[in-house]
Amino acid sequence: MPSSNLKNLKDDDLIYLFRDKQSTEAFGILYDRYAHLVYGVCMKYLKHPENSKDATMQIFEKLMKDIPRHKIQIFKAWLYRVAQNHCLMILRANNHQTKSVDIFPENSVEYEDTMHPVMEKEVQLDKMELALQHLNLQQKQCIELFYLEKKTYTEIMQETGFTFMQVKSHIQNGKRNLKTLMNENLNHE
Amino acid sequence: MNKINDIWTDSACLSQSQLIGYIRQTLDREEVYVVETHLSSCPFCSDALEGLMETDMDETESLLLSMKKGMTETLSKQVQIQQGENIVPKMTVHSSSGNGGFLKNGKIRWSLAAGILFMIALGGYSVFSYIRHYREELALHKGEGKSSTETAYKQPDDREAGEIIHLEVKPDSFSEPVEKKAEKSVAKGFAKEPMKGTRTEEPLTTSAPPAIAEESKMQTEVAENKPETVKDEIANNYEKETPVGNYMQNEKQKAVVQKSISKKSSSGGLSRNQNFNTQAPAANQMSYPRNNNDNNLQENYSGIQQSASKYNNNLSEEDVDTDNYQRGIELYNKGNYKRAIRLLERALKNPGGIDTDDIRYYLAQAYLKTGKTKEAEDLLTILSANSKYKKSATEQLQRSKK
Repeated sequence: MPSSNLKNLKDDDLIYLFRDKQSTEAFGILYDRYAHLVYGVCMKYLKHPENSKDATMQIFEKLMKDIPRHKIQIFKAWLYRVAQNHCLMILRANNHQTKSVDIFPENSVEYEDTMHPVMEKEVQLDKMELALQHLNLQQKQCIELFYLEKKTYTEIMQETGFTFMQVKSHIQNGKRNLKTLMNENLNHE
Repeated sequence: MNKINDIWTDSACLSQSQLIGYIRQTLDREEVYVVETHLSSCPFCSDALEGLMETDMDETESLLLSMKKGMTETLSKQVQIQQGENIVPKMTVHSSSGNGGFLKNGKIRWSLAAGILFMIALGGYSVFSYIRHYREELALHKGEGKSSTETAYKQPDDREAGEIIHLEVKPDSFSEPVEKKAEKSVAKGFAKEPMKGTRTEEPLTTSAPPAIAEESKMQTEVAENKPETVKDEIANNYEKETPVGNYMQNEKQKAVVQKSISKKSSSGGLSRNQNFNTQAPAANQMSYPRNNNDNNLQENYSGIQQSASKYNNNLSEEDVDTDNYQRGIELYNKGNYKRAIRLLERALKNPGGIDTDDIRYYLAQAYLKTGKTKEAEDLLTILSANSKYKKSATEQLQRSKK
């Protein structure tokens, strides 16, 4: 597998090397970067190690054909979507009676950060503080403990009595709501 | 409160060791916090964590290892295929020995397919134009036929209409339906004067609609091999005075505008500030005939305006891309590296038609000049992988690392 200094390159550069210069080494690095994540996503949906392994291999073999054909803007977001769709396709094929599959279950969240450009650092802090007051108590508590006091999930669990998934969910949902509130604030101005 | 700014920072996805270490709880507190900060902003890693938490980690690790071996094999096969493609000399594609022969070569297969498609399209076009011409001819003669029928009804009163038609329309040309006759002429290879009989029997001036009359006049005169100028004059009159002609003229004007646009683009395109004027016809020195179809003309003209403005937008974007690159190099040559970097970075994002290797090379030089070694090394690594700058990039990379 890859051993050179291509390892430090960004995804975009590796895609360029694979697509335009036929560098299989670059593809190998992309594989190293994301294979375990794709496998994890497959496990989440398929709940079976061997099936997840096969699915992961199929996804990467598909990628080898698809990368040259698509204009990919954010590789990891695209790969995540490809992995999800592949798993859902397998689920549907295996079980025709599958009801609608929840991509985002109740305790899950929608992420917007990776889909949109990262907000600039000079975010107006006072507005963020104001928006923080509008969050519900649990989300506010978890956000403050995690970002202001730099506590880990386990520490927050101990302090608040929430479960691991609840902590994770409150932080992620709180973060999303915070962003929405701030955007609304900006739009009103 | 400053700490909350970390909320929006983006970091690289979790590595296998980070993720497994987090699940096995072998990371120290700092590392755990880094992982969790990333998890809060990355759906991909968050879902992967959920999935991996449901598995036995030993089994997962061995599966990931075997997957990696599998992928290594796949990639080495890919390399062999690529090398094989490079080794096979292009001349051998002509030998049709074996299964498939030269058709196995992708390029030849595609060009063959393109050739066949082109022939089909050409054939389709000629059939279409032939049918169109034939229909026009037919419509013309139908008009004539109708007028002769009308004349027939004006014959003495004491006879039945059907009878009169039979008796009056006696000449050979009407002894069979017009369509049939036309078909015959088509079968003969489109005779030069397919309906001559019908024309001479019934003068067009009395009964045919003015547009058709004018058209037939024009056709007759053109057929008589009049000089080009006369032909043009007739065509212009025809276009100005008939509805069909109006349409044709509008189409012509469109074509003139498109032609001028394509001329400009082929001669290097417009510069950034030299936009094509779409505001008023006068500004473009285009003359429009004044007639009853001014509204149609206006619609057509606004269509032309829209397409021209679209063209302007596209052109200016491409122009800006080229500009960024050229101005970047100018600034680099003048020693203004910081501004050069800004422009070249923009050019790399939207390279337009420029070779990205060129942009990367100059950008790397500018980075080196400004001491941004890390960024320069990234670009030089890409260039040293496989590009026309391979040799110099590799040397520079080695020097930079020392």
